[in-house]
Amino acid sequence: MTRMGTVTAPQKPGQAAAASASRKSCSCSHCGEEADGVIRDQAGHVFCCSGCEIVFDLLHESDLSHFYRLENRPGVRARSDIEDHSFDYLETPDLRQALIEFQDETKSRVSFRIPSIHCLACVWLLENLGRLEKGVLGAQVDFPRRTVSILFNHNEIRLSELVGLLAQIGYEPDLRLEDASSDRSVPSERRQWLKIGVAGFAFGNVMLYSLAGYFGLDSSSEASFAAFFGYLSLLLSVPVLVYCASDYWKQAWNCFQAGSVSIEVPIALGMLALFAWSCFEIVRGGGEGYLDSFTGLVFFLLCGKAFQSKAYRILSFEQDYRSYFPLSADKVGSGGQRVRVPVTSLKVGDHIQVKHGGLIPADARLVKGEGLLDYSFLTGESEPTVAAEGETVYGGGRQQGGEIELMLLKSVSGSYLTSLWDHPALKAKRRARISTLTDRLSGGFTATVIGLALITLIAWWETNPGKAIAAAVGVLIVACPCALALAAPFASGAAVRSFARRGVFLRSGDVVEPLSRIDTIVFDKTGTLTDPGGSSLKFIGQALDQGDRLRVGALCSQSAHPLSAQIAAWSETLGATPKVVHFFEAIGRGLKGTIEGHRVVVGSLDWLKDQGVLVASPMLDTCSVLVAIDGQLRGGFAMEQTLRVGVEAMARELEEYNVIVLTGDSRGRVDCLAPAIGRLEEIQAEQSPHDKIAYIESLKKRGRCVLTIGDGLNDAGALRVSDVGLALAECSGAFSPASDGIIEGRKLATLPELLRVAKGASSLTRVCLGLSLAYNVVGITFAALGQLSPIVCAVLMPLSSVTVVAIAVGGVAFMTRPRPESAVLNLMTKQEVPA
Amino acid sequence: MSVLYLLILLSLLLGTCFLLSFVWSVRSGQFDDVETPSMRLLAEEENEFLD
Repeated sequence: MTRMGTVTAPQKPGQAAAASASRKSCSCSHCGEEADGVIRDQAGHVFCCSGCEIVFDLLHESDLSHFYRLENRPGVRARSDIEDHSFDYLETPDLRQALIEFQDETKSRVSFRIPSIHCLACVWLLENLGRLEKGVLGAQVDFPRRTVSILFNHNEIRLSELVGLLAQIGYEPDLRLEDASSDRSVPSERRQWLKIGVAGFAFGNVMLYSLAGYFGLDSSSEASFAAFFGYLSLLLSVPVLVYCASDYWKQAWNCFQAGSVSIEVPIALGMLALFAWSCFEIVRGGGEGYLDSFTGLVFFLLCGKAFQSKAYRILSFEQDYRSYFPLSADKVGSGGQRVRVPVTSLKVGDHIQVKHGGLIPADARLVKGEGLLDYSFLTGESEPTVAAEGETVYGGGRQQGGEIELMLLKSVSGSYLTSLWDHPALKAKRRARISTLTDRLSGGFTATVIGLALITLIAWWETNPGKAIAAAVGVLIVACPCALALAAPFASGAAVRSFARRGVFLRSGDVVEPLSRIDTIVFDKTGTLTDPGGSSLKFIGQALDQGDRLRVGALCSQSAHPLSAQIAAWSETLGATPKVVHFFEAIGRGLKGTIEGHRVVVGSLDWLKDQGVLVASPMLDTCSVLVAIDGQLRGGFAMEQTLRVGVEAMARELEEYNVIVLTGDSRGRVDCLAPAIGRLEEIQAEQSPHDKIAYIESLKKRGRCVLTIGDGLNDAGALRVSDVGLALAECSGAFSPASDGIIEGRKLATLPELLRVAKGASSLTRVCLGLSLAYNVVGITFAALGQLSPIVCAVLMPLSSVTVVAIAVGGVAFMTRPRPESAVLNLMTKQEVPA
Repeated sequence: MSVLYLLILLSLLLGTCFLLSFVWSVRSGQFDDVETPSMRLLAEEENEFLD
């Protein structure tokens, strides 16, 4: 809980003990977080901070207390540092125009992404915002997307005030640079729904008309009826052909032009044969055609597509640096006053202020303050970099120390971080689709079907030329691979859903098949294998006794440097802090002082040398802070990163794979991984983002099928060039680089199981493909013998599709059913793999 | 039997009305979010007449 840490003031151990003795710790009446009981109102409600108390009172006064009845303590910890004019920068015309979706004389509508929406009560409160502020005319929450769309009277409340109000009650909109240039297109899901609706409507009606024919509407006695039904079916099928099936025509045409064959080609061929032959029969007046099969085919295919492409709308798999940067920065004016301005308006030479935890928007020179910059997201280096005044800091780094003032050297779009996106591997458009097993099968399938149709034609030509054409077309019709096309979407769609329940969100079902072929797994280290929140301080060298530890801690407690604060905390629990005399701090270098008669020097290597300490110990290379007492080098502190929970167990289960670690970190910090990970093929340290891309490309050239797992922007290129790239995110909705899928950080340990499920799903797909081919053999036999009637087709097509879908979905559900032991799953998938 | 012509056309007309209302509901965004409405229903305040 980092947000707790920033708000709660650190207490001296003694005070905390006293406080906990006198009052029981309890949870805040608003947000449910732990409260020390200091703030309580007359009714006995306890709050963790004044922000929560204000919101609590505000909601009660505005008749919104229902909020607290919906859920138990549903509030979001309110920020206390919101000022009246914090969001004035939103009033700049460009930004306003980008954010406002619709506007007339009095009303405006705007949509915000609010990650803190988490429950029923949030939805209710935001939708009743009008009671809190009468300028708000209406609000609608989209829970899966975590967005709220607000209609407001802009004469009564300004956009900046609206955002301020949301921030004040704990729902601060997440405004990012990409919002300033977002385009709003019609969601593709709507088109999908419409197509399914139209196809379903046509299918239902056409089937009813055809049933009349199947159940003895004798075409000789009721000829006029047959023609009537025929033309009506034809009328209903035209929109299906032109509108619903449009994607298949387009993709088949693209394949045709590119000279390749995907599953769409035989489907388009079958559809064409179905429709053309049905038209011919209806117009000629000789039969009712196969339009029920045609509309049904399109309907089932569209359903399969919808099932496969279940969208996780809160996640975005195509984020770039623009979604990483915040929308605003604090600009320092010439008179020293601070104004919040949009990042896009920053120019070279502007002075900006960055707070603790803030992101540096562009390459800049440090003007004031002491920089401790975390570039781990950018470079993979776990160690924060110290920057003194006058040094250059890079955009994308996160400031870890106190407040700093910067002068921009480059614009946001010209900075190092954005230049990472200039690599050709990232610029190249993501491959349109991964070639799947179904696609590879399609080539041979299409050729076979066309060949069989020709053989049928020739065989019948001698005896009965009229029947020859009918039989050949019949082969094309019945071979239309509906079941074949449905097998993979349903098996992978079901697998994607079961992945999602385990905290892994795949971009689409297309990823499952390549995931099952993986033989090499490449991990990033920093933030992926290691826990980003769990670094701990480790002392290397001669062990310090308790007195020395306290002296070092006492010296460091005098300094405001973040590393000093950590060292101070390391010895704080041992006892009372001794007094420091002759304290001296050289900013960015080190500290010295005398404690209880001992001269203690703490700091960088150069600093210790300047103080006359003899430093010659190579094992201290990994230490960022060295310690000397009375002129004797005693050792140093290294930041040691802890591995994520379960990583070691996961590594043991991944024995059958080649495991490689690529990291931007230095060699010395990586070697400690080896014992934990077990059998590693290779560890590569000090890898730049471009090195990683080159390394993975060389692996692929050697015929490896590579899965890459990383979290930072430095991995974005590597994720893109791998066969499958999974990004790690701490929580859903947080920034993650473009990828094929997103894993929640704490779910990393489920990776072996996921790979097994992927393998199982693709074995099932193979079984289904075999089954649908068997159905096709039966159908084609009928057709080639000239026995194919519309009713055979109408029965065979849905029957084959339904069995395939049932086996695919049921099989995956059976494989992934909740079970305590994953070993059982292991056993089972092994049995299911066909020999 | 020729009344069937009329009935079938009428049934098709009726079906088309439903199809058009479906098209309208998709276009107006009713299918964009199928999760929140179910939550909204549960979040209703108690009706004062029922108390």
